[in-house]
Amino acid sequence: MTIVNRRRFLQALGLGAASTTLPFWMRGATADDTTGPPKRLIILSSGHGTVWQHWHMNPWGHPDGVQWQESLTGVAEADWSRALRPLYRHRDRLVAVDGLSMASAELDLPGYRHEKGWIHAWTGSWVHFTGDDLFSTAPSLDQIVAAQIGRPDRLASVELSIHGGRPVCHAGLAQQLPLAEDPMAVFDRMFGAAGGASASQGSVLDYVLAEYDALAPKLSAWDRSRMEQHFDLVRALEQPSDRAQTQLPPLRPANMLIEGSIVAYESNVRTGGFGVRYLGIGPSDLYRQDQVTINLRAVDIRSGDIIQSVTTTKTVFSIQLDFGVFKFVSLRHLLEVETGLSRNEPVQQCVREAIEAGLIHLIAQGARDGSWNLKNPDDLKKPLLAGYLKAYDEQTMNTPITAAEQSKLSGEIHAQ
Amino acid sequence: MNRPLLLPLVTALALAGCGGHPDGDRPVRQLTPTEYNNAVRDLFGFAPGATWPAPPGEDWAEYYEEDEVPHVWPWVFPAEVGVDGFEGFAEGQVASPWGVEQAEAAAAHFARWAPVAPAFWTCDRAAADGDALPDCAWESVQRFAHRAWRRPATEDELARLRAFHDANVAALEVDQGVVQTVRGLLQTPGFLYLVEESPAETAAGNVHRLTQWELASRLSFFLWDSMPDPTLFAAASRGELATREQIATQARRMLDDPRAREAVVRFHDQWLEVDAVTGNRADMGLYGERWAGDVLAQASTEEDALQDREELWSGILIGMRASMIREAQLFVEDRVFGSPGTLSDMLTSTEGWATTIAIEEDPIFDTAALYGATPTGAESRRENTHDDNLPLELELRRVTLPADQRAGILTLGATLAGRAHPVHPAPVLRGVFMLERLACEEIGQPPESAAGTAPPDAIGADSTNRERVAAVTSPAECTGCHERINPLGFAFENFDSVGGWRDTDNGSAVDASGDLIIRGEDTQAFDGPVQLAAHLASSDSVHDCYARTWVRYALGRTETPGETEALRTIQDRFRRNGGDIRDLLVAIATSNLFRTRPTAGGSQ
Repeated sequence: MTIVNRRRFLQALGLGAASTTLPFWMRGATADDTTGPPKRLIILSSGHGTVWQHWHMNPWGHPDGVQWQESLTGVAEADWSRALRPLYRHRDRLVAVDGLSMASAELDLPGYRHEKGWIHAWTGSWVHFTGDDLFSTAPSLDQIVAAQIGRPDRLASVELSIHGGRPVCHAGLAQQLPLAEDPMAVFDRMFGAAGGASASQGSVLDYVLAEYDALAPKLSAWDRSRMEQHFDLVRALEQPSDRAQTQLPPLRPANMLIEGSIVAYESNVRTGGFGVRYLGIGPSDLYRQDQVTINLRAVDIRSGDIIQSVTTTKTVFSIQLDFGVFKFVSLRHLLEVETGLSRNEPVQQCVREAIEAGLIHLIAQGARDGSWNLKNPDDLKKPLLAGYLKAYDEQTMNTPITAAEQSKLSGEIHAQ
Repeated sequence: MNRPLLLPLVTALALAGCGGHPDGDRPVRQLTPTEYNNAVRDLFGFAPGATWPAPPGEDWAEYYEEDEVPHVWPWVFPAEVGVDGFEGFAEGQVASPWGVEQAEAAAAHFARWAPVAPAFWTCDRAAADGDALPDCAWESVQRFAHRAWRRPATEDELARLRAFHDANVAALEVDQGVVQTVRGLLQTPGFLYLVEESPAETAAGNVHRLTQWELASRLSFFLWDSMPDPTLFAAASRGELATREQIATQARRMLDDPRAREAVVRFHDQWLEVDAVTGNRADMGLYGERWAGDVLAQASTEEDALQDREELWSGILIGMRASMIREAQLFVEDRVFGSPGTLSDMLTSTEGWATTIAIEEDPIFDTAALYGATPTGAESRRENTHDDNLPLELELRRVTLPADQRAGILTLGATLAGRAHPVHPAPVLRGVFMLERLACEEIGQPPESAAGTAPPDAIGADSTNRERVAAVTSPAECTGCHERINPLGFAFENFDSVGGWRDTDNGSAVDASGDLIIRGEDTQAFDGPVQLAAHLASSDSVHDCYARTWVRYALGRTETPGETEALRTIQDRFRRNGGDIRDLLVAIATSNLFRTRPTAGGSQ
């Protein structure tokens, strides 16, 4: 892991003056690459970037305004910045860049800083004006990569957004891609809805493609290029069904069913008091406590036997911010979640937390009781699972009988 | 120096010179999602609002409850990127992978109904059998293609279609073969795009007349958001869309059809950005108490008062937003299709709509209280809406709005509540909306230096919203735009974040006075929204802006500098006729701009 400053980053891109050699972090990136090119790329783009003071780290005390780069391999986890700390264990494969300015965007047309900043950042191209709207003049990074690593039997790229974020995906000149917001629409797109590929889809699309072919010569150059794009996309539709059949692995039946339900839900709003201890709120602040109890059972579908059953109670605290918005705090640490303004969030958040807790609990319990084995048995001693089991034992005031004790016990019973 | 003002200039230069696309800004456009759905409905011959029967071979009774109607129409497509908030502009349309997938999925979905579609068969399907059926199917497919492409097919097209259709029938028997053929037709560019061809012999830079078929399509998608009906097709086939009188006759006939009401309202939805109100998140503590205190008080129980009240307030807001959108749509429809049908009436009328919102017949909110409205006793209409799992009943009633407070579209709930923050109304958003949408002034964005500027330290706890906004926008680099933006926003300071009337703000009397500054016109002083609306209703700039917005929408593109004269002619007629909106639409339909297409070069 390396922190690189702006000047060196630009040098690496060949933009800075006197960039004769690549910095070590870029040389290293290809040298230890023995597993072939990456198969997937995920790009997250957040509205106003990261919170700089939580992202930025400088345990070496470099003065401001000076360029520097450091390897973080030897830096203790505690010295990592709050935003980067969760990535600590990937430190050998990380590059963090800090202090960049979108200088080219500042040289583009005046005004429209938000729009042109995003276009420059993801496409590296100049903006294109139509009426009052700005568009890119080139494809964005994700589309260029998708064209290289996308498989014909998969969607090359999926563009998602929360609450209609700013457009960041572009297919080319003035080809801003729509972002999907509706989870149902995304599900239908990824897993298929009505009118999926049928055996004769190929011939339908062949017919459609022939019509595009015939039309193209009658159009102006600009229209033609748009039609060709449409044509290419229709052709891309044709390929998946042809290949998917040979590439999909056979499905295997599931042997276990996990079922469960919410057995209790309590919600309360209080002021000060107990919350002050670790929520860091003033005694006059409102906080809200949601408590969910869920029951999860693992059932062997071949025999109908209940293999494991756990009941878990999870408490989620939320601090009231302005205007009735609650910020959520899980039991032991602040969640790295920025809440929107949706009315259902306290409930959703709490239920999700509870189900996650229940599932981890179920896995841990089952592994300890020998209902199933973890791929790596030592994982049971890891803090996450061990913590849940310990909390469970403390709560129920008992320590479950181990397999060894059980056989000893049954031996005694038989002996009597 | 007023930096944002440079933008229109830069844009104009770019369009006139080397910017835009190489062929000069007159591309073919795609059907919008609305147009696609309407066209499919009309193509199949299902009446608007009619229940579609189960497609052949599908037994709905097996899957659905007796009175349950499965959702079959419309198909939901990815929203267009749009231009200036409008659909239907070629430059705001993108052939995205998602969109093309959806076009394929929608075609597969709708094609299933072809064999039971009222307008599909040219013969009596039930009576046709044996040898007659395949012939009838081919005849029906030909007619369907003609209507889907909105013009006669060429011989080459018919040959390809015949081969495709014959293969489908051979593989799948007649009915399912037809389904497969229709599935292909619904994906052809002739259906999905409004293709207008450039004659090869005309040189670039010239203008050529649209064919009768192309003109029929333009008319129907302009006035109906759908394909031409048989009458319009017949007129096109006989060459009766040649003179201005002939086109005007058709346009007037079309405006009398219910489809025109929907299409015209849809234009205003986009122009007024009525959807903005869905972003309203008025604060419960302030506005819940003020406007729904009684209902909220009933909801509270000792135990968990806050949660119940929050839930109820969320429900009220959901109902309020939906109501305000419908009220705006009904208001616009009344103004355009009623008397006098003028822009001035749309800006000043006090005849409106208010809504009682109920959950399971239990009223929770009434927007009439918000507006201080008096019921007229005339018709009311019941509609249902829902958000997630919350079903709401809306009862919309005609009302008279207080003439000293309300005036036309500017004081509609959707307009005011759509431009408000949770606690304070948003004068800047309201002012920018007026200038950009009503006066067509491009305001652009705040100057670079405005980012992160701390407001001057002149705001106290007792400051009014107006004083706060004035203080924040007081630096010299802001005033160039804000001296025009702020007064228009301040004019509506009597309206709170949900569009209700208030006499005081933060304990002080509301000051809603100011100067209306529109470029090219005399500055006019006003006090309050009603006076401002009266000024705007008599403004030439506002009339020109409205006409220009309609022209661009009708053409699906921005006019070029060479077309300013033609646009001027339409604007002059609109003003001369007292701002008659239906006449404006006829004027656009009969204009040279609408009937011709500048010839694109580079087709070789």
